[in-house]
Amino acid sequence: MRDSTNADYYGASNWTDLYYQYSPTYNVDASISGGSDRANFRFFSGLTKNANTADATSFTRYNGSFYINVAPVKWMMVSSMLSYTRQERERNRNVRDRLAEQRYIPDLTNPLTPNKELYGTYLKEFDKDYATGATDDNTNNLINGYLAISANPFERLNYTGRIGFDYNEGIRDVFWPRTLLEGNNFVSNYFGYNQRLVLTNSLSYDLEIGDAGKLILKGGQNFVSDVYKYDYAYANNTPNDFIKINVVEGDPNKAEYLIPRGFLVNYFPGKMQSKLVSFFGNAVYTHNEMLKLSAVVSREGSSNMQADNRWFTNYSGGIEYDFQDMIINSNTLSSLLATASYGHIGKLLNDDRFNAGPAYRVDLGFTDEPTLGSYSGIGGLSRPYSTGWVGYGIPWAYTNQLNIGLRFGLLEDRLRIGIDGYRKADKDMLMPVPVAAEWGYTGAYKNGLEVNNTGIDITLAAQILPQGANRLGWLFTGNFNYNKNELSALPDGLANVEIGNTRLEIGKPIDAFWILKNNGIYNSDGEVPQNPSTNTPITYKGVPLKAGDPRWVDVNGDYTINDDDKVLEGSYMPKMSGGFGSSLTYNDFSLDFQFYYALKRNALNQYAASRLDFINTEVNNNINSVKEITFWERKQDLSEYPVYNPWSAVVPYRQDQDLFLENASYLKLRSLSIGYDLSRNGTRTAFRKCLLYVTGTNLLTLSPFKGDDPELVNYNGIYNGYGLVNPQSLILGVRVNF
Amino acid sequence: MKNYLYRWSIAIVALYSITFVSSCNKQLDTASTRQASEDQHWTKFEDARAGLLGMYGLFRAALSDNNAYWILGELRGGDFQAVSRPDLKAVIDGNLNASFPLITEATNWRRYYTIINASNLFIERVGECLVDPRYTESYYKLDIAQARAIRAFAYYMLVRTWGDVPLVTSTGEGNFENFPRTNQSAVLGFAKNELIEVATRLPYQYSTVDPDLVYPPNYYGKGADEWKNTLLGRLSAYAILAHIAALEGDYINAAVYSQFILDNAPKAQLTTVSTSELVSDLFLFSTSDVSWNQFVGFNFIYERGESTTSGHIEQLALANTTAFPMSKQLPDIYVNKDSIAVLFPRSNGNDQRFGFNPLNGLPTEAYFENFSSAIPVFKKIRQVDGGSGDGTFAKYNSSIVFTRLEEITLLNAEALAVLGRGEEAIQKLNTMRSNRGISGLNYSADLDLITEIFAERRRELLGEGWRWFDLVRYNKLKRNNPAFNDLIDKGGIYWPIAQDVINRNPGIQQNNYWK
Repeated sequence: MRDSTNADYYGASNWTDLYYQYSPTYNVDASISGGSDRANFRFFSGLTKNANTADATSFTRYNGSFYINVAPVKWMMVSSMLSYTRQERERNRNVRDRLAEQRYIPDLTNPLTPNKELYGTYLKEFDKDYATGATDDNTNNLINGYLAISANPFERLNYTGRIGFDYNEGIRDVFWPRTLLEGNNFVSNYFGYNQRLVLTNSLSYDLEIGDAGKLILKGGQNFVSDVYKYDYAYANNTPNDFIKINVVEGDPNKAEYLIPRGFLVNYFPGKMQSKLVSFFGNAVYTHNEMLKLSAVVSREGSSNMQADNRWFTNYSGGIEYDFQDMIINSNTLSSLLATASYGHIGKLLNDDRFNAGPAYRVDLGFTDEPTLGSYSGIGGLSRPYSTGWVGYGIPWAYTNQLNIGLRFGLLEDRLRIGIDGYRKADKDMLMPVPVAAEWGYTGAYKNGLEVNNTGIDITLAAQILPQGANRLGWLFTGNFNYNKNELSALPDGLANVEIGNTRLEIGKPIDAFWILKNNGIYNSDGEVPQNPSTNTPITYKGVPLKAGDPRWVDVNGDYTINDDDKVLEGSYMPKMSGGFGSSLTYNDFSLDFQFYYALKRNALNQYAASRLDFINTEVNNNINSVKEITFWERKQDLSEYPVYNPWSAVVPYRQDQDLFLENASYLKLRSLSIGYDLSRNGTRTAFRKCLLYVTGTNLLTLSPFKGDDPELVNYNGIYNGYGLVNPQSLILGVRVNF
Repeated sequence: MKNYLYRWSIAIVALYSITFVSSCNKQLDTASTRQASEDQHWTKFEDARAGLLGMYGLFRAALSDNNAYWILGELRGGDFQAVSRPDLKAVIDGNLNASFPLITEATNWRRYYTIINASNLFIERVGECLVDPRYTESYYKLDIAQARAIRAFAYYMLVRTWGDVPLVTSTGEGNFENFPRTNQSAVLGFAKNELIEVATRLPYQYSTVDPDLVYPPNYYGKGADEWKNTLLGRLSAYAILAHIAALEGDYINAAVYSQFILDNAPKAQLTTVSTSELVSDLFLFSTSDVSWNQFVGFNFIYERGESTTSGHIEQLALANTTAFPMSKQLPDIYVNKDSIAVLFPRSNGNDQRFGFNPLNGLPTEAYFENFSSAIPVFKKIRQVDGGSGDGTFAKYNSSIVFTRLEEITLLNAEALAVLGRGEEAIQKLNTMRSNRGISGLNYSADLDLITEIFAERRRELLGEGWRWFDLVRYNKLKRNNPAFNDLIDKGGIYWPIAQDVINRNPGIQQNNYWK
């Protein structure tokens, strides 16, 4: 803190009273249905409110859907569905999120104070009931529906057709008053929609082959059209906090048509479109209900691919064999089914910018100003230097996957086990490869990335004690998944690629951390090894190491610690994961619990790194030095880390070292539920079932992880401590069936 | 009834079949609306314009990213000190191999090569726009001349920072060959030839009525008053040539080129500016006529929504003062009082940029505010929120000014002094001094004129990204500082090359001094 006389930081640290609060959640559903076999309908509506205990965040969802099925003639059924959903979100009041949207970093020397009164005045600025309060409305409207026809005009011939549409719009309205940003207010509006149209037609024909064989042939077509529109506008400093919108001239014939008044508006329109066409043929042969053979071939064309590589042929086939007849005499084995399948499936690109080869984009911005698009007020275009070169001749990426499975039951199926093994090879994937900086590009998109995933999934269900009157029933279920990934090829036959802080190396997992090995601390200058040929101490990228610096391992022995001394270690995706649980019953009582786990999983603790590297974190005025109110929370004991010289030019607490590599394996109790059935199978009450229950979720976590919750690690394995907590919840409920 | 339903169903099936047929290959030709595709580009007047402004925009981005223009030019060995940021301190102390992200990013020359690649591409392709009758031959010639001048300027910036750099003069689209570093004299030779060739093809001013019909009037739809000297004109090319010559130690040509600019300044509406214009309007590109003087510079026009936080000295140097209520309490860098005293010695009298009023003893606040506090605020360049901002909304609009007439005059004086034409040099210097309210020097044989000229550059150009490069030229001339001689001899005057650049191209070796 720069000014220790600042009175804001005296007083009780009781902000948690306002930040963490009990919050109710609820869910109400109702449905009505009616009609006859030839014409029926169903109406469904629901209301769900989900809330987090932290920062008054919540999510409300209203939903209504209507289904009608009509059979105008006996051999044809027309069915339709129309559904509407509205979602409203109360977002958090994080400073970081707000500043990121405002694109403005205020002076960060005085963070929010941990005192309830002062924090309360900050929260008040978000109060919508104030005339000058903040607005932060986030709404989604989803409408989807379909009209489907299924016709069976002749025996053995089936036609199905379907038109479906999906419309999803998102609206975000934001106004943050002057009081929240150094006397500057901010207004923004986002309107975007996703619109999808799906057209499917297929015809199938059933054939009998011999006495026991049955063949179904099916062919058809599928068409998907997507439009994604996103318009965003923002402005700073409206004339005052009462003026939250810019009223513009709406008459296109007038000179000032749509010209902002009173303040400068930054407007970013955007639109993406894509289309996907496919034709498919499918054959399924079953023999005596024991053997099932299936094959699918389809040809797909995507508008996101370049014209000469637009189409791709997918194929897959499978076999399934039921050994029911062979084991009929076995005492222990009660069922046995084996499956195998192989598929060759194309992967879609979800960005439309690859379909034209080399192109020109707006790329005049820089690190803090990515949206700058003009020079002297005139739009400028260039090659996409920041995003990377895109050439011609980009083929489809595809997946080859082999699955083999075995399912069997023992002891009259009281013990059921399923084992599935798979090997999945994702080939020819597109990735940006670094090229010489002298071409200006951050990289060039090239295909040829190949990743193999091998794994096994085991599921188990055991009825240890069968249910019965006055007896304890115990059903145990569990599953276990093991997955191993390996990078098997890179574009252009490269053996390894380094992009920023990640390194991809053939034969290594793709989710490994690329880090220095830390071996403690140099307590005196004399401990620092000297390079015998020059008599100079070992350096970190040219800066000599001194007392108080970390003892990083010089892997290649060249007396310089640099990227060549970094090793690939750990993985952020768990090698093993799964869950297990039990259902115990005794007369009308029931007890259910579910655990889940992830093992052999690592995380890089950015939270600890940036806290310890306070010298660099605090003096920088950027988004990473923002302190949220949760800054005052102790998420981790930092005293166990070595005490380095924080001013050292080698940045001793850099994140890319194994000092911050953590074991993020965990075992969690997802839910624990106790119930009592009042109805006794409908004999005691008017209902068929009337269950009273208490359910607790997220009650227990076992983990060696040092931060607050191993599940709050980002998708890329970085734990930054900014995640909103996963709340514990307690639900009291009644479930009634008529 | 049944018959009717039957026909109705047939109709639906038929409708489906029609849509089935229509969804053919043609549907899949959906061009992206977010980019201009290669086959449609370079066919229109607007494509040429977008490409041209693109090069300028990329140049601005290269100088603005991480405030590189000041990190590379102003801080090292300069007058500014860091308040608390260790990364800035490392730069100021010349510890350029320290591992701070700022240094890693500022030493990466990729952004300069975006300018070079964009220029190469423009030179190769813009001729295709001639199919558009609006894109006339005169546009074409002028645009090519600018692209070549921009490319030459980018090479000058690269060489003065890193020494030997790869010389890339074609687009090499898609093959991305690895080039080795080219000797700096060859790179500068290329830049010089290009500039000499194109200088005469560039106009003194854009969009003026040209009686010879060589230059297009109303260039790209903007009047002369709107363009001012945004684009590189003839004198801009000579200014870059003068600096290339000075960098090479070729002071004969430096004198010739700078003299040409001084002689022809009125043709490009170049003037020297008063101290009050210097600290108010000069760096703001707006309707003010003072901004004509940014004759090699890059602007951020407020009215066009180009206000930014980085890319300006203000982001580093501005802070709250009694006259200007910014919320930022302390700046990132400042000039301490001792340095200010060295820069503006009392013996110079009442310098308008900084001095003490003899009547009341108060400091003049043209360059600095809060002089009485431990950390004075450098406010010479303060263009906040379109120039009218009171400091609460810290978005800046000051242009990055590479050179202005004062800078060229002092360069001319430097060249003349080196060439032994001291009396002419002192005349130029004294004009500059009197413009700022300090008395002239008298010529005498034992006056260290070169030191005086560099001292004036240090005062006049403070905060304009020149200090380090001036120190290099000064010490190359003087060679009286053993530590600096060592830097010059071992190549320590150049910046290290970012590891990322070396990783990407095995042909690039780190500068020897930084190995």
